[in-house]
Amino acid sequence: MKLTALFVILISLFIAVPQVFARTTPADIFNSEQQAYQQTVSHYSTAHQQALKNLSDQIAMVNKSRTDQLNQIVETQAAILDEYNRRHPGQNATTSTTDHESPLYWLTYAHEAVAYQAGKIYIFDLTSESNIERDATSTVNIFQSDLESVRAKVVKSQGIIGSLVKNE
Amino acid sequence: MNKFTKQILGVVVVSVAIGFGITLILPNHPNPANSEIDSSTLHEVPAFAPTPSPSPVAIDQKSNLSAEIAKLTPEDFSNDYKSLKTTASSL
Repeated sequence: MKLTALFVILISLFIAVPQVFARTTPADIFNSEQQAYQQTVSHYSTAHQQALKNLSDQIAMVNKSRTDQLNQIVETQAAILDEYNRRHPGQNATTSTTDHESPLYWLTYAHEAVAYQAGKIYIFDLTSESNIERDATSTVNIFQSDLESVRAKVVKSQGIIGSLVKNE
Repeated sequence: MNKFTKQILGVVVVSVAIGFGITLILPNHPNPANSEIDSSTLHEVPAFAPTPSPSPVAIDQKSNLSAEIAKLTPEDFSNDYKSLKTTASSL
């Protein structure tokens, strides 16, 4: 009797605890950050609200323009790799040397990175209105770091395909 | 109320207290059932003019592949970052 009662209590605890540790999805994180931003920015002056919106639009515009360019570059790299494979049908150039040196691997890696970056939305992590300049600069720095990382992947892909087609 | 009943009640009260404590200490995660992005809270993405991009490079049998790949180095984005940082520092 005693053991049964304790067992029932234990099971009840196991049923209740997962509610606390509910899975958090990327959309949850985005919504949470967005709500925090909206809540904080609503206490800022109208001029600062507008300035933040303008900067956010400017970041989005640069991101769109630059990822479009990078996308065009990786598509041209893909066309070059395809042409190389057509010229050397017996040679599997896409898996030359090791997998990590494979031109196709790096090209796909770069292409995915560009697509992921193109879909990013930057939300300011606001601390207080007096820190608005630092908060905004911090977001710009994160954006710069992300975009430079993607650019480096495209350059890396270019280098590997370049060494493959150097005699073509 | 016998001793055993009191023990059970004690365990229940302590368990509920611990449960509430954990709920208060842990960060408040949004409900996954509402995990769809709430479009009403999103910024409206401005309509961009099409980015002027170079015309697609036609790669064919006659193409000099090494020359074509050498042309593909991405531009330096420094001026973009500089412009964004100037805007940010003027806030």
